[in-house]
Amino acid sequence: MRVALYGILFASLVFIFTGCGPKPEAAPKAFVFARGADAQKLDPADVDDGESVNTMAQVFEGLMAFRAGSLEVEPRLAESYSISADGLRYTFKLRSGVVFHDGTPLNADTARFTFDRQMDPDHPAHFPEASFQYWQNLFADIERVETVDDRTLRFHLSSPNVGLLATFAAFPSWLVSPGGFDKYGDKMAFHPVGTGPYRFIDWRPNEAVILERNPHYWREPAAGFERLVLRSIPLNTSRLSELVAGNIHGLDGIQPSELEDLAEDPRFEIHKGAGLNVGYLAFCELHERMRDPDLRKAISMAIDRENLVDLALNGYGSVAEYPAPEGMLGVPDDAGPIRYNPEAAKALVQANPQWLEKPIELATFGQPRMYFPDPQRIASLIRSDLEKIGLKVEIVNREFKSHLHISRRGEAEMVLLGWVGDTADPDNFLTTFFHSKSAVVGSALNVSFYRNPEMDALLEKGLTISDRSEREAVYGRILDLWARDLPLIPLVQGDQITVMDKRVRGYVLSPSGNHYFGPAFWKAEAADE
Amino acid sequence: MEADEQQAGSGSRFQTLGLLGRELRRFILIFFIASFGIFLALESMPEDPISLRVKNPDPERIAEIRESLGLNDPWYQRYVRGMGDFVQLDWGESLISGRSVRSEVGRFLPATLELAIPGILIGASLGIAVVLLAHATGWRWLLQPVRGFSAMGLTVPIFWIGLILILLFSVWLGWFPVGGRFDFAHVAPKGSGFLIIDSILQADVEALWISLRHLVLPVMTLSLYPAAVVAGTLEARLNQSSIQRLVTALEARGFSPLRIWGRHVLRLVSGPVVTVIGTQAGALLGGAVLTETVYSWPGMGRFIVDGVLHRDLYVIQHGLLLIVVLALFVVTLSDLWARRLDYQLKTREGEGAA
Amino acid sequence: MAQDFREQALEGPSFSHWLGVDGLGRDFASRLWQGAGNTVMLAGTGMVITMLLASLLVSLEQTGPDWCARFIRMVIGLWVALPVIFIGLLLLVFLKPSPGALVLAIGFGNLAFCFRQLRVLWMTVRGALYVRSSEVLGSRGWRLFQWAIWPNLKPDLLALGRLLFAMSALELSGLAFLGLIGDPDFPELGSILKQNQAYLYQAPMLVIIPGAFLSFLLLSVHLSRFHK
Repeated sequence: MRVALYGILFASLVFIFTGCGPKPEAAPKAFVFARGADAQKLDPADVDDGESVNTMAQVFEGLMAFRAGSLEVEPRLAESYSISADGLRYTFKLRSGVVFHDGTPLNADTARFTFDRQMDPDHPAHFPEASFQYWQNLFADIERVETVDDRTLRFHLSSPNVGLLATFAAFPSWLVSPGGFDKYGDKMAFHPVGTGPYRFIDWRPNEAVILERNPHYWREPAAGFERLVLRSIPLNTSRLSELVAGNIHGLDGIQPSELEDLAEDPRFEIHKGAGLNVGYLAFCELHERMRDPDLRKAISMAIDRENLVDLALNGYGSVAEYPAPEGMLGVPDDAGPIRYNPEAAKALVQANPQWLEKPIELATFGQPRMYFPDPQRIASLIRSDLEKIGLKVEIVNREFKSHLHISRRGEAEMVLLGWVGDTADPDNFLTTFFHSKSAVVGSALNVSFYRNPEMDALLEKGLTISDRSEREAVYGRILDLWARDLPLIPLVQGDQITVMDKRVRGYVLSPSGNHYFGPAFWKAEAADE
Repeated sequence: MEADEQQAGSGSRFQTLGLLGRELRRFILIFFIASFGIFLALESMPEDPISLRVKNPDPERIAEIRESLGLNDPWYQRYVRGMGDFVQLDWGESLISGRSVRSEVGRFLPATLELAIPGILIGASLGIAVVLLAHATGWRWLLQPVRGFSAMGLTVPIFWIGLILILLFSVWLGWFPVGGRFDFAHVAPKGSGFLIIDSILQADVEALWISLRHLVLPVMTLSLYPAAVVAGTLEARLNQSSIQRLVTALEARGFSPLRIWGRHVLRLVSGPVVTVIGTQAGALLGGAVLTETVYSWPGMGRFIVDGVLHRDLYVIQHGLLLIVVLALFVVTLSDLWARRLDYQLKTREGEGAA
Repeated sequence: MAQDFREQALEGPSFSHWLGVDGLGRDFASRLWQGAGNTVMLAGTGMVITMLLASLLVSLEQTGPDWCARFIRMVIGLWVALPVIFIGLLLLVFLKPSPGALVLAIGFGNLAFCFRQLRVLWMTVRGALYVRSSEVLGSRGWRLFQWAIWPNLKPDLLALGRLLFAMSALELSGLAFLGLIGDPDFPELGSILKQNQAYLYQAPMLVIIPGAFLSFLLLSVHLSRFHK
C-alpha cells in the first residue's frame, strides 16, 4: 500500500517535470489580466479603488461613456441627451432593447434605481455601511430625478455645473440592475449585475474575478473574449514573471525599469501614455508644526523631484509642477513655482531649531499606484533629501486602506498620496485638493485640511462659468493661491503602462487609467472571421 | 505532552478513556485561556474598528453600528457572546470586505491545508527516508549532507529559499508558475475547496494537472523545515546506544537491513518522530504564512496578516482563534498518537519478555 | 544615514562599492552591514528577554505553590503550539508595527520552547549526584547554586542561548519580511530582502546576498556549538 502511494507520488512528479513543454500557439479562449490587488467591492456606488473600478468597467455601463482613449464623453446607454439653456435640467433619452445580465429590461424606472439609492438615505439599497462618497462630491448639485416617460429621465440641478455631464460617464453613475438588489440584497456588491460586455461568474477573493462574454450584449460586436479573468498578484516581480512565462496575457503596475527588457520581447506590446494623475506630498494643517509656511517652503525646496522620477519611477513619468496635470484648462506648461534649492532650505531649518524637536511623521503605503509605482521608495528618497537639510523624518508605512483612513482623519503630519482624474476637468483635481468642503475629518479628500474662503469661492465660481478664457483666468488665480500657501507639493505624474500579449487587438489606454476590455479581441480570431 | 506526565506500566481501556478525558479538559481550559488572550488583545486595540469600516464619519451612524453589533455591552457579555458565536460558527462579517468571515475561512483554510498537509507529509517522509537509507545501506556519505541539511533548517530563512526556488525554477527554467493556486483560464472545480480532491472527484485531469503544478514549489519550500527537523531528531535517536545494540542483535540474527531498519527500528523511533511533527505543526503554520506571501497563495496566513494590519475585528477574533485551536488540536492529537505508539511498543516488548 | 550614490543606482560591484549600489542609490555593502548589525542586536535582545522570562517562570514553577506550577505548565502547553508569527500578530493588534514590537514578539514567542529546555536542564542538574552530595555536605541556597549548580549549567545554557539566538534571528527577519517592522527602510536583513525583491530581475544579487549572509551568520553560530 505504502509502496503504491509513493509510486503514485513519484509518477506524478515525473509527469509534472516532463510535461512542461512549450505551450501551443493558438489563441487561448480566456484572456487573463493581472493587477496588484484584488477588487474591494463591485458596487459602483461604494468603492474608490482602481481595482474595483477596473473590474466593474467590464460589467457596468453608464448613461454616458468616455470615448475610447480619451476623456471626451458620448452617449452610451442614453441614445441622446439635452441640457436646458440655463444648465439646470439634463434630459436623457434611453436606448431601447438593452437588458441587464439578469434579464431586467432597461427603462426609466430601472435606470433611476442607481441614482435614487445614492440620493435618498431612506432607500432600501442605501446601505448604512456604504460610503456614497462620490455622490456627495460629484453630484452635489443634483436636486431630484424625474421620470418623464418610459424612456426618458430628467435630472434637476440646484445650480449649473459645467463638469456634470462627464460625471455621468464616471463609475459612480454606472447603472446597476434593481433585479440584482432584489436577489442579493446587501450582498449585491459581490454579485454585480450590469449591462456591460462581460457578465460576472465568480469571485475568488485574493485570487481572481472571473467574467464571461455577455451573449445578449446590446451592441455589435459582442465582447472579444469568451472568458475574462482578472487575477490579483501582489508582487510586481511575480506579475511580470507570470507574463514572461505565458501564464497571463496582460498586466499593469509594472516596475518601470523592467520595461527595457520587455520591450525587446516580440511577444508583448507595451501600451504607454501620460497618466492623468498627480502624486503629492500633503502637509496636514491639523498639526501645529505644519501650519508654519516656512517649514512647508523649506521642505518644498529640499525635495529633489527629478530624482524621484529617475529612481522611483525609473524615468517613466515626469515632475508634477502643478497640482493638476499639465495641459488641463488653466494649468500652464512651464517649470512651475517650486525650485529645488537645498541650501536655502538648509538655511531655513537652521533659523528654526524648533522644527527639530521631534521627527516629522511621513505616512506612506505599500501597494503600487499609477502615480507611485513603489510608494515606499518615494518615502525613502524624500527622507534622505530632508535629512540632508537637517530635518528628522520618521516613515510610517501602512496598508493602503489604513493609510487612506489615517490620511482622511489627518493623523499624520505629512502624507504621501495621489489622485487619478475621473474627468478631464481641472476642477476634478483642484476642488478635491483645496476646497474646505472636502476637508471633513474622517472623509477628507483635501488631506491637507486646507481651508481658505477665497479659494472656496474661486473653486465654486470656476464651475459656473462656461466661457473658456474666463474659466482659465479663474484657475490661474487658484494656482497662484496654491503657490502662495503650498498646502501640498505635487511630486510626480506617473505614466500609465499596460503590457499586453501582442495577439490582443483593440485595446486602448484610457487617460483615466481604467481598463476597458470590451472592445479587445484575439488577433487569431479576427483572422478566422 | 510533558515527559513526566507519561503513563508508565500496563494500560487498560479505562486508563485510555481517562487519558482522553483529561486531554479534553485540558483542551477546553486552554481554549478559554487562548480566546481570552485574543479578546484582551482586541480590547486594547487603540483604534476604533467601526470607524475604520464607515468611510463617512457620521458619529450617529457609527453609534448605530456599534449598537447593532453589540459593542456597547459590558465586556463579559461580549466575551461570552463571542465564544458562543465562535462555537456556533456564526463568525460575523469582515469589517473591510463585508464578506462573511466563515465563507472566507471556508475558502482560505482548504488552500492552506492543501499546502501544509503535503508539506509536512513529504517533508517528514523525506527526512525519514534519507536517514534510514543512510543507515540501512551503510552509505555514510549520505549522513554528511543530512547533518548539514538539518542545520540548514534552523539557519536558512524559508522566504529566501522560496525566492531562490522561484528564481531558479520559474524565472530561469520556466518549469512552474510563479505563484497563485490555479490558472483561472481553466474552469476551477468546485466542491470542498481542496482543488486536488475536487478535480479528482470530477475526473478533471487538466484541473488536477494545473493544481499540481502550482503546488510543487510552495510544497517544496514548506517541506524543507519539517524534513530538516525530522532528520535531525531521527539521526539523534538512531545514535542512541540502545538502538545501536538492537541493530547489532538483529544483524546477528541474520535479518536483512531492509527489515531491520524499515520495520523494527522505524517502529521504535516513530513515537518521538510523531511528537516532533506535532509540535512543529505550529511552526509549520508560521512557515506557511511566509510561503503564502512569497507565492501569492490565497490562504489563511495572508488573510489573517491582512486582518490584523487592517484591524478587522471579526477576522482577528475568529480567524486567529481558529488557527490557535487547530494548532492545539494537532499538538494534542500527535501527543496522544505518540503515546499510543509508545504504549503498543511497551506492551509488545512486555509480551516478548514474558 | 548612509551617503547617497544616486547616479550609480543598481550598478554592480565596483572598486568603491564592492557589493554594488542598491536601487535607492545606497552602498549595498554598508547597508548590509548595518542590517546585519540590527538583526544581531534585535535578535540578541529578543533572546535575552526569552531567557530572563523563562528563568523567572522556571523558578516560579519550581518553588511556587502547586496550582501555580500547574497553571504555568498549562499555559506553556498552549504557548508551544503557537508559532511566533501568530504571537507577533497578536501583539500587533494593539501595538504599532515597529522593531520593538517584533523584539517583544520573538521574546515571547520562544518562551515556551526555552521554558521547557531550561526546565529539563535544571531538573537534570538539580537531581545530579554531585549536587545532592554537595547539599548533604551542607551547601544551601546561593552557595549551592554558585558552586555546584551554575558551573554545570553554564555550558548547556550557552548552547541553548546560541540555538535561541538563531531561532530569534530567523523569526525576526521573517516578520520583517512580512512588512511588520513598520519603517520599510529600516536596515534589517529581512526587510532589506523585502525591499530589494522589487529588483529580483535586474539585480538578483540584491535578494540573494542578504539571505545568504543571514544563513552564513546563523550557520556559523550554530556550528560553533560543536566546538564548545
